[in-house]
Amino acid sequence: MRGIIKDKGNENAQILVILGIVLATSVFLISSLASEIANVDFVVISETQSSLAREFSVIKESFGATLNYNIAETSSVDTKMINPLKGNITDIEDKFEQTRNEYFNVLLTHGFLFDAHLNGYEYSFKETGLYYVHTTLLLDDGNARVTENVTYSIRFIQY
Amino acid sequence: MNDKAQMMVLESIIFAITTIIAIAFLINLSPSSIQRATETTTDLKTIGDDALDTIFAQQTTIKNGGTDQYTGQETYDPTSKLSVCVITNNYAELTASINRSLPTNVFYNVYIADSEGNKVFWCASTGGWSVTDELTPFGTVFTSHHIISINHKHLRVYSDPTSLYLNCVTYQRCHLVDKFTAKYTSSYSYDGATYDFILEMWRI
Repeated sequence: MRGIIKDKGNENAQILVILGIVLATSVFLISSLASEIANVDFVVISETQSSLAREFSVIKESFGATLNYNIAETSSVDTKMINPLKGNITDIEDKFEQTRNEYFNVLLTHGFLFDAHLNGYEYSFKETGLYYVHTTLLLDDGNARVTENVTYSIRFIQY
Repeated sequence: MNDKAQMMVLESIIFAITTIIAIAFLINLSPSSIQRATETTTDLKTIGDDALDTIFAQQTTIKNGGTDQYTGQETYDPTSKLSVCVITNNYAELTASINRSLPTNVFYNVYIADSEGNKVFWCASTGGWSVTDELTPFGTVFTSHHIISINHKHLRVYSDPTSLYLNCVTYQRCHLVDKFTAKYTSSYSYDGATYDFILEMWRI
């Protein structure tokens, strides 16, 4: 009788040990799977990401200068550039569209879709020809899109 | 008897879990299924982009000949080094700057395009800039580009067609319009300020 009771106690202890191992293993397994799932699709191809960001950065840097040059006309008698850039702020909508179209065409050849909106403009000091132009730039590579509001300061002497 | 059966069930569960863990571990060890581009396909384009970004970022100023009516000081146009090298036909400085950023076994041609799709050869890695100096690409060609802005008046000087007066120095007039005119039509008259600086590179 005592032997039977002792056997029974041993087996209960074994079961408890095994249950403990199962519990520990389950916790380990579930935490491993959770961390694995958390990382699914986390890896991105860096080239694609950086090229859109890089392209947008290039556009942001140069768009204002191009707009400035497009809005300011060259004087036909300005042999040695005696006069600084001259233009007319009332032309800004046409010149902005011209600049946008130029960028659109260039970027399309590299697989990017570009768009820009003129949100408004104001002058800092009209006499010195310093204007603030508020724009929204947009760049799309088919997979991702970047858009940002950018304010450019452009300078030219009003006709 | 019941306890023994329970033990066997638990043992089989442990065996199954161990097997699953072993398989998961092996899958984890195997290479990622995500296709990463090889070094040569992305690396050269990235290096080219960085080279152009670096040269572009070197902002310089061009004295535009005007004076501020209030301060009386001379006024300047901010311009990137990339544009200035083009405007002043400074092929030597341009290729030297690019060569500093590229590996020595890389050769390249530089092209400049306007926004209407016209594209002309500008110079090669050897420094040559005439049409006959254009190098023939070898193997895979990688392309980097950078948009540059060029003021109209730096390209077309109406009263003096041969020279350009810039920062108190007289330069030979920029070759850009002549190159476009020679390649396309004599009536080439692009009036935009947007140009695309294209760097086509290949390894030897």
